[in-house]
Amino acid sequence: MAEQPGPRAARRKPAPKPRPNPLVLAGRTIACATSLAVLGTCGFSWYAYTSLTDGLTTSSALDDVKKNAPKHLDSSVNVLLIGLDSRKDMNGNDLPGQFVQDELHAGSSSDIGGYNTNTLMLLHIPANGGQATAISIPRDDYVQLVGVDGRMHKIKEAYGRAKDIFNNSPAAKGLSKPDLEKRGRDAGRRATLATVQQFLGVPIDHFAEVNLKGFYDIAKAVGPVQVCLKRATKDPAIQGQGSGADFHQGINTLNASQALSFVRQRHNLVNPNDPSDFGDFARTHRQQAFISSVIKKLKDEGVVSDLSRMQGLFDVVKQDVVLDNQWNVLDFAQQAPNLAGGHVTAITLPIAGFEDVTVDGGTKESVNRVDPVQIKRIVQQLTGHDSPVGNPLGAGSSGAPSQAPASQAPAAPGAKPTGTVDVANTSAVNGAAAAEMRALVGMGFTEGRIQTLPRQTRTTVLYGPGEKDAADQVAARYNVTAAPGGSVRAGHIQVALGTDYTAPGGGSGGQTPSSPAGPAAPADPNSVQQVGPPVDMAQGIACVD
Amino acid sequence: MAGQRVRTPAGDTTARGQAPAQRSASEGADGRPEGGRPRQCAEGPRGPGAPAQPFSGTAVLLAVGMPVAGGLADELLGLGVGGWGLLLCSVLGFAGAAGVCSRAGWWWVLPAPPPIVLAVTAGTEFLAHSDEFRDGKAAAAGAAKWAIDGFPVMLYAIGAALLVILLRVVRDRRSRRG
Repeated sequence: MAEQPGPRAARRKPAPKPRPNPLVLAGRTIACATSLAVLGTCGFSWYAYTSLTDGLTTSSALDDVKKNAPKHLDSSVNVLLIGLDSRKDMNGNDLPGQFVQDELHAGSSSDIGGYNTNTLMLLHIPANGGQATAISIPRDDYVQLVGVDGRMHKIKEAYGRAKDIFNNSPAAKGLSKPDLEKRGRDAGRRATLATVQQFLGVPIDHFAEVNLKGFYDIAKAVGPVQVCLKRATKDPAIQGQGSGADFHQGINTLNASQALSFVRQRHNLVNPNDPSDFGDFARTHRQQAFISSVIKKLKDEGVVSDLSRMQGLFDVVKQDVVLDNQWNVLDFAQQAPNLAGGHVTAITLPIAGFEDVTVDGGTKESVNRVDPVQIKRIVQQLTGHDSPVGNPLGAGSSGAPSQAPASQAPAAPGAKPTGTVDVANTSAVNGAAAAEMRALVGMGFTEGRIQTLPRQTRTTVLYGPGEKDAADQVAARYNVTAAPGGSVRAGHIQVALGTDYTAPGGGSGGQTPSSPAGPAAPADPNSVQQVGPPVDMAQGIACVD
Repeated sequence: MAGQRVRTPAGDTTARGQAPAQRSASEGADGRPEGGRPRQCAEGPRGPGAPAQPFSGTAVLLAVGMPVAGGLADELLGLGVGGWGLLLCSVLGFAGAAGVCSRAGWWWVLPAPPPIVLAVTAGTEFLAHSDEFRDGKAAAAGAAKWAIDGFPVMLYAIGAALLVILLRVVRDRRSRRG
């Protein structure tokens, strides 16, 4: 490069031009070629990635929710997929009525549906990137909403109610319509994320929100998708009700409009083998099966490795999907390598029954009665999470509803775990008491004593005066019921591990006790209580009702 | 032997009896720039007949050690791949290396950032998160991440080295004219 003498120097002192050593020349050539190759490859990758992801619609709604999230004990990832039943665009403008009626089969009015989150699905990707679990939450589950009014409502209403509260707040004054819509939706997302996080007892790391039009556009970009139905079904769209579904038994190839009908149908839908698996519940299996079919299609057609097709898909995603602002697509690809292969099992959370409750205006509506402790235990089993209950709540959670039915009230809502735990090991598992003590302290309880007690067959949780709620949280961990213990001191909870206790990961009796050093192995999705059968996405096209 | 060339320890060849070709035309016979300021190049002491080297330990330390330190700092501070630590240290390291090495050394300093930055991002990430790269797909995704996040660092590092080289060339020309 610059090792030759300059022209002026050459004039002053003419000298024979030195000939570089061929080895040095070769070395330089190799160095430059290697450098250019690395730079070119990295540059192309950077350009492809940047053009793919630039322009994604993001939201900061998760920032506040994460501050109050239970702690992760490993690098597993939880993603909440939110399906918003809104007929409006991102700026709050009504979608064209004809389009809503003819293509979305969602009535002719953009006011139908409001801002209900009719689909809530938590995707848990384990730390080792192995088999993921998708957990559908029935939309009518009656829970305490966080970040709204602190009262009990259907979980699907958190979004719309929080948005309404924001729209009527002083902060909304003077905002343009698009800004009002944007900030109102952010308030809705915050409430939904915080409510689900509290309800399930696991931290939410990312979210993705899609509305009806977004789903339609994505289905259109993906192209015809094949699904499998166990029996023929119809659900005519009449005056905003009905999905327009008209499918035959076996494999159906769906266009975008039919795909929307497929995932929205809830009438004339029942699993004959499980009468509790009908309507909304059976619909969650449709949604799981559709995702499975889409994954199969993308995989079969090599879309994931085809940059131009990925670009087309991302162009749609940029328009209609909202992601959290901390979502790095590359990180996610690294964390979830098996998702593209469909290594996901999907389940629907159970309910405790139905109940008619009086809502705003004195009208009655039917809701799903749920047992929050049971739900947290199931989610804990599926995720191997160590802190199933008692996680700190988000903003607005301090006002626990006094009128909440006792059976539905979350255990110790808004409170961190209190009480001192004493653990005794009467099981055959060595070191179980110490391990459980560490786990319970990890949940926020105060460390007590390791006790010695006579051998007992069943694990028991006894509590002293003032610790019933905390004891319920502890008992949920062992799938037992807490009972008052006459000999237990005030402020203490006594855990006696019986011979039914097994080591972490053993899964005996649905228990997943574990230590803070690492969460327990997630339970087999088939073994937990749920509505209907799980959907194994590895099958590709899963047959559903 | 007439016409025989002498190989320097660095591998460069000079005509017999000539001053090392790597020496700047602006330098005096004592190895100082014409301006008289002692040259800070890492060629080492270069009296008449001293062997010329394109770069020295200082240059290597700057070009390799600084990015490594930056990459480690990123991992320790949790700044992720291609974070501020790697960026700043790479820019300073390669700029410094371009400043202290000889002109012949520029051939090595300029192409160095891409492979070194890639190696540092890969190495530090693998060291810190080796358990995450056991799966082939995760490793592929990780490699893509290293390449994408490392690219801007490579560009800035090359730019910094180029800038220093340009400044040195301009300074040399001015001192020759002056």
